[in-house]
Amino acid sequence: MSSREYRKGYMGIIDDRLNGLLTKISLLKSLLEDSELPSSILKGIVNSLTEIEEETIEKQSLYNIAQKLPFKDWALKRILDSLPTLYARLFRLNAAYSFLKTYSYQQKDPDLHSFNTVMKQFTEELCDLCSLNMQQVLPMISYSYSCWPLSEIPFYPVFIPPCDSNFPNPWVILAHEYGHIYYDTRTDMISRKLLPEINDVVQRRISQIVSDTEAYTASREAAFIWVKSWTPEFFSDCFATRILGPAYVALSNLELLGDETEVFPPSHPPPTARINFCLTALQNLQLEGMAHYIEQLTEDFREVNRLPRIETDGSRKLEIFLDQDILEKCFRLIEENVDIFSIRQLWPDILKAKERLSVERRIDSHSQLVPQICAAILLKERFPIT
Amino acid sequence: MSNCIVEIGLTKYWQLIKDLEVTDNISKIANDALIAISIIKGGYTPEDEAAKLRLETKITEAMKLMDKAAEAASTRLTKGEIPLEAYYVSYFISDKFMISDAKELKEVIQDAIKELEDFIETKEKPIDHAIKLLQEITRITSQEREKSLIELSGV
Repeated sequence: MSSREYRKGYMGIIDDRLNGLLTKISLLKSLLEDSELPSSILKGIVNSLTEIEEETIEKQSLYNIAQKLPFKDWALKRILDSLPTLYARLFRLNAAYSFLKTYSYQQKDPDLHSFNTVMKQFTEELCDLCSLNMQQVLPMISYSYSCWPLSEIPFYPVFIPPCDSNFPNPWVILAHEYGHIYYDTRTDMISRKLLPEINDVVQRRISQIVSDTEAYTASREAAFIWVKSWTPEFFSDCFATRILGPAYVALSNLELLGDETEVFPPSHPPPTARINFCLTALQNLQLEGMAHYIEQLTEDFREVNRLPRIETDGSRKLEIFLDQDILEKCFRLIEENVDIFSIRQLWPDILKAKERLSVERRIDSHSQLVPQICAAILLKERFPIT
Repeated sequence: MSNCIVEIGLTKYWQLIKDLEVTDNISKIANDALIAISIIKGGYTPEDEAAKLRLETKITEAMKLMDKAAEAASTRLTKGEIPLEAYYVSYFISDKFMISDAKELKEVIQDAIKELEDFIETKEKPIDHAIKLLQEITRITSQEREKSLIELSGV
């Protein structure tokens, strides 16, 4: 291929990609125009889409300038390299649109009628306990328990696997997901106050315990992981514990243990550290009548913890990230920033529901669902909703 | 309670989406600055003041991000707002260039800022160091984006 042809091809690619992007944007826009989604939701997506469109048009004008330059290759290469970011943003909006449509279809699906009714009630109660706006949470059936932030749009699809649509005990895990939403809605305060403090605690301590030559690199790596990934996870665990109390910890105990990962850097803190923190948060609530459950959960946790650990390169590296001094200080800071204690009001209702459930052995859909589901977990049983 | 066991993805996707947002924000700023630099260095003469300013703004945005990253590089930072983007940038640079000293990392970033400042002023002074840093940032963010998208798409 001659140099001339190469240049033509190169510019052709940029041209095609920019035009392709604009076509995709306009196709998504026309889908949105025809959509029956509420205007409040549509507005957010359309605004974000318009931003991407404007940026693409700007890239086109830069491309037009660059093609006429005496030394253009480098500028053209840079413009080409900048396009995947725009595609990634479009990917997020495509995902947002598809989730919103799925939610809208599932709401109308007769097969999901009873799930939708019960889930609506559960979401309402949980949002109330979490001080979240129910309109922002869109629960739907999907393949796993998770929650997605939809970028600039203040809506959060929350997913529940179909196998659990009729047996609600595991739904309490959603309190952790709601913790992420709560964290997300307070990003400004958290990045101004909590994250710098966590950063300082981690870096300061690791600089003390690691040899001089490695201290800075190790402390930066640890602080990066704490700030980026672990703080929101611990925050959401503490949040869920303060919303649902021992029921959340009992379910986490079950779900998280044995879920050790060898991937480094880890996206989540090790399960043992998470459960330990949940137990501490539970203990610090000092709620009457809870001591027995805390003892039982601590004992279960101790039993599993007695099993021999398999050491890996990742787990050895993590040890310094989990220094006792770091854990204690960071846990305290995170606890101070979770300003919610709904379990205090909920706890007497859970105890009452526990008594009733052990006799009636069914969850009554005409009564509050959250206390009944928490009670079922404490009874270590599953009951149908009727 | 074994009958309660469920398969839980927990918040893996949350983190992937958030990572994608943060790395894309960084990538956009660094890439736009590189486009502006390459167009100016490529011999472009802006037709008017507005066109000149548009290009210069792209470079100053990158300088602002680097300035925050230099702040985030300090080991004893306890005050002020640190956007996650700044954390990521300072971590990427220290990791990529294997800089194991806070002071040195801060200097490396500040040198790049100074070069960009001079470039805006004179359009002539060399800015090799700043370009290298911005290029590394775009390379790493692009790798991170690939990883996130592959995981999110389940490919």
